[in-house]
Amino acid sequence: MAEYAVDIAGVEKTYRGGVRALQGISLRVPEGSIFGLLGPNGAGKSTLVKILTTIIRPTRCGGSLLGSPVGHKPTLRKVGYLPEHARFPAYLTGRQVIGYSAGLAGFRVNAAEVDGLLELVGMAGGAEKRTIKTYSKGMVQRIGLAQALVNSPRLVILDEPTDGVDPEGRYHMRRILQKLRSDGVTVFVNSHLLGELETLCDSIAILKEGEVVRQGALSDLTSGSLRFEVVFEGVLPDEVASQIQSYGHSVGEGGITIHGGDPSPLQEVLDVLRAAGVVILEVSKSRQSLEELFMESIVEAKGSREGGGRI
Amino acid sequence: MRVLGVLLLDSFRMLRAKRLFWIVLILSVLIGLVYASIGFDGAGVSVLFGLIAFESELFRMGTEASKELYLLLFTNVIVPYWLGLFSIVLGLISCASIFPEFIQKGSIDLALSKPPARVILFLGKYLGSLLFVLMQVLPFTLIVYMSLGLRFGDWNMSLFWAVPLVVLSFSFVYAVHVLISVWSGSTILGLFAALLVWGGSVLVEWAEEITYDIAYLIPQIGYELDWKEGGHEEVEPRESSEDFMVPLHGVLDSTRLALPKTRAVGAQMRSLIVVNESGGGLVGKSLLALLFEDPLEEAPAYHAEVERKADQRHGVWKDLGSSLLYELAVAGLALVIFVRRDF
Repeated sequence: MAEYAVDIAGVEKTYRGGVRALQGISLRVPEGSIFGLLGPNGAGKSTLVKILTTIIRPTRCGGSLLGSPVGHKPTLRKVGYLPEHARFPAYLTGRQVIGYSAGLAGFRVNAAEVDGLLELVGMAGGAEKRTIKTYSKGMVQRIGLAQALVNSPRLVILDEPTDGVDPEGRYHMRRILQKLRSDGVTVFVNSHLLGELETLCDSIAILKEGEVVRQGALSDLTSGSLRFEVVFEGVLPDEVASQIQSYGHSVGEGGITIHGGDPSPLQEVLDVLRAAGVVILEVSKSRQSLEELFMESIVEAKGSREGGGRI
Repeated sequence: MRVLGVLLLDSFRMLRAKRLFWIVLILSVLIGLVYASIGFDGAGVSVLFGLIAFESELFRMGTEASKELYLLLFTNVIVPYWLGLFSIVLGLISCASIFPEFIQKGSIDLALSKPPARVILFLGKYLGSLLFVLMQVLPFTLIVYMSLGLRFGDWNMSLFWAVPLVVLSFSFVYAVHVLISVWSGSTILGLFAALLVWGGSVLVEWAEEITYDIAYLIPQIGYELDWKEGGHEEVEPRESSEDFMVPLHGVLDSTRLALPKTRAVGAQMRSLIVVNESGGGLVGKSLLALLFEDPLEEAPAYHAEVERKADQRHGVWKDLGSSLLYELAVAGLALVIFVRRDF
């Protein structure tokens, strides 16, 4: 088994007309993990996903998918895919869509296997016998997930999987993806919903204008942003505030921020506050949210480009 | 092969879901039943299973003419007009959305992300589209086959030439639709282009036939047309006319060769469907001539020979082969676009 489900290097795509959608993307997705691909509109996320699934041909692409070169068709037997804005044939029932997908992948599925998948995505109970044209967007997405899993894939690529899905459905889908991870399946999610990815992903990559601007384990990427927040009652006496600021911490209205994950400076601050008789209401440890990391990455990338442009 | 089977099954499900498919199938069966209702007895011919009867010396039980009438109704009326024209138009309308819907974003992604090569996906969809016409022609031909067998004891397998030939005619037209719709993604544009090319090719076929008659057939019979006054006068038969009609026919004949020949394919069916055990075909025989008086019977024997030569000036296999080459080129171009495109 390869160490990385996706291990690509120098992926480039220039469309006819000279639009450079991808400019040398390199990224690695460890086997058995959940990976999130983030980026603003037009960053090249869908282009990258479509290159991995052979829908788009790259201008240049090195590396591998499940140990085989990207574009190797037989490898796709081990890949499940839910496209963005999936459109299944309207005349098929949910059950038939699963069979159709299996057939295209070269598999034969029996009724019990289809029942199992329908149960997994919460579509059992009769709805699967109706044609797709009668489905809500959320139901289509559920069937889309079921068809992506029909070949028991080693890698599942999901493009905006929770698009149109209600909160209960989203919770349900998160549970399914977590179960897939625990079964050793690699999940590659392309989504705009940062809050969802934050609770789900082991690692992420942020794309901006066809380039990877941040990549790695979510915990590593946000470790530099670890901080302790101390909330106190009333107003801090000036001498106490000055003393704490002299340690290099930020003092705001009703709160103190201690940067870094080391708890020692926190003890020092708590001692100072107690000695001054300040009532401490709350002490918490926090880190940068994915949304903050995303925005910071995008702004930094923009800044470096503009700076580069001036030189 | 399994993937091809999956795609064909999908096409069948798609057709089954279309109301137009059922309308055309019911109409086909109804026309087939009306045809089957034509019967012959000792006194003459009857339709609607004996409801309306006509006395006839020529067309009655046991005569060769009655069997010819029965076959000519099939090959000269039903095949060219119902199967060769209306079925193809209705088939085009029914199948028009297959490729544009298939290549839509969100739909094509699913198919292309699977292991089968794009060539297989394209062929599966293309052949699946031909199912529409196949499923119309096959039951219809079966009804005709059964009628002929039960009425005349003639279990004529050559009737089944109608199935591949009508499907082929449809595919010649459909190839243009596929090319344009794969290129543009537009159902309407594809439909319009297919009808335009079809109409254009039929016009060229007609024009070629007319210019052949003027350039060769009329001079060989020994007539000279008077273009100014109208009418004609009898002269010594000669190989061809001596005016611009010969080169004009040459140009049209070459143009015709490069185009799909749906009209000719229908006509060639008459040479492939065998009337009797001696193997005689329906070439040179017309329904009107059979029903009324054949003007050639009054004319010298060599007139019929000239007519027959005109009918056979394009060989079956040359017409079929060149039309197939045309289809291969057009569908091949569509395939290349489909295979190379980033969806």
